[in-house]
Amino acid sequence: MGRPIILALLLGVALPVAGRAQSLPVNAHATVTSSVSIARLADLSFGAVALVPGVPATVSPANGGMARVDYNEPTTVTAPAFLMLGGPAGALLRVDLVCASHATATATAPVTFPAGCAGGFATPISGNVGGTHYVYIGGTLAAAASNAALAGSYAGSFSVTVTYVVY
Amino acid sequence: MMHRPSFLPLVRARSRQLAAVAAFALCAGGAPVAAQPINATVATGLIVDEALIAAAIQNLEFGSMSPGGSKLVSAKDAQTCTDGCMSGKWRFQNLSKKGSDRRANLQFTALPDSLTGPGGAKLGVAYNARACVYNRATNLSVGCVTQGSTTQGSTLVVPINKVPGSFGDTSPPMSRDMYLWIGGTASPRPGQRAGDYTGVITVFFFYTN
Repeated sequence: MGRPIILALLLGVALPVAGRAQSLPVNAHATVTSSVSIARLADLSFGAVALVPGVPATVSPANGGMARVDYNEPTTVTAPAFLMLGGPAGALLRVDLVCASHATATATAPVTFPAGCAGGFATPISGNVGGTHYVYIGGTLAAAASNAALAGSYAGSFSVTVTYVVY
Repeated sequence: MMHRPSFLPLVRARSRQLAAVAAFALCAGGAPVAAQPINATVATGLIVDEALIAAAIQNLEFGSMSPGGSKLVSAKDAQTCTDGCMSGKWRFQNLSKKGSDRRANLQFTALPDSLTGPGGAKLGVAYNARACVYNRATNLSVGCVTQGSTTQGSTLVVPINKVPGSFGDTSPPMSRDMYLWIGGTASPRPGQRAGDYTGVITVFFFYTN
């Protein structure tokens, strides 16, 4: 009889109270908005000297038009593969574009877009911040295109486009 | 002299035990006429507190911010939650039911000094915290504790009892709820990479009796 009584008393004293510790996680979240811009710095010019019909003319990207891209996320920069310049009496003259990029605005040998202007170029980004890249645009006037062209002044425009995810 | 009072009852107890053994020996030696049940009533008991109920009930949300700026989310209590309740929030119930010398402690065991975004980009964050105790019956604040900013590596402890402005040791027993808020300042750098940044903040809660 004595042993059960002693056991009961011990139970009464030693039964543990429920656990009293807990870990509780919450999530913290923030969104940094997109900040991407593009600005034209220079036009693509074949110069003031008149071109000779049937003779090809080329302006290298380093000596052509230029646009500046500021970004804080990966962007894709594209331009058309060619454009048609408008001339006298509605004449058209095809110019094929050549695009290149560099991190500085004074590169003498910017890196040509791997898949042409229409294929685009992905701005590089690493670490916590974005950056700035420059797009160089040159042009080529084929001999065949200029051979039959009417004499006169030709002009046109094209867009350089940046594509990115909006946050 | 100190041990004498407790020694005498022991002697008496032993005497009673010997007498019981002797009585049992006499019964075993003779032929029993009938069963003779002997009952003893023993009092026992224990105290079971109300179970602690704790929950993480709201995430810390900084929302959108522009690179180069900063955004503050204040740790607000329920009555002044004017910022869209963007602070992180925890609720703890059944604290200090006994109102004695119990202390409830909180530690931020995970308090990252930056949130992680796309490509592993980091967004710096500093924190502020605030805890308030409520009388559940009236839903009125008993008191609040505010902590200063802290960064990873430090431990933020909010000892609810014994803190002026919270509630003291001599408070009458009542059902108390405690809320803990955490806010902070997120500071994206100029050109900070765009995207969603996340992190996990963990509160460790424990009692000491």
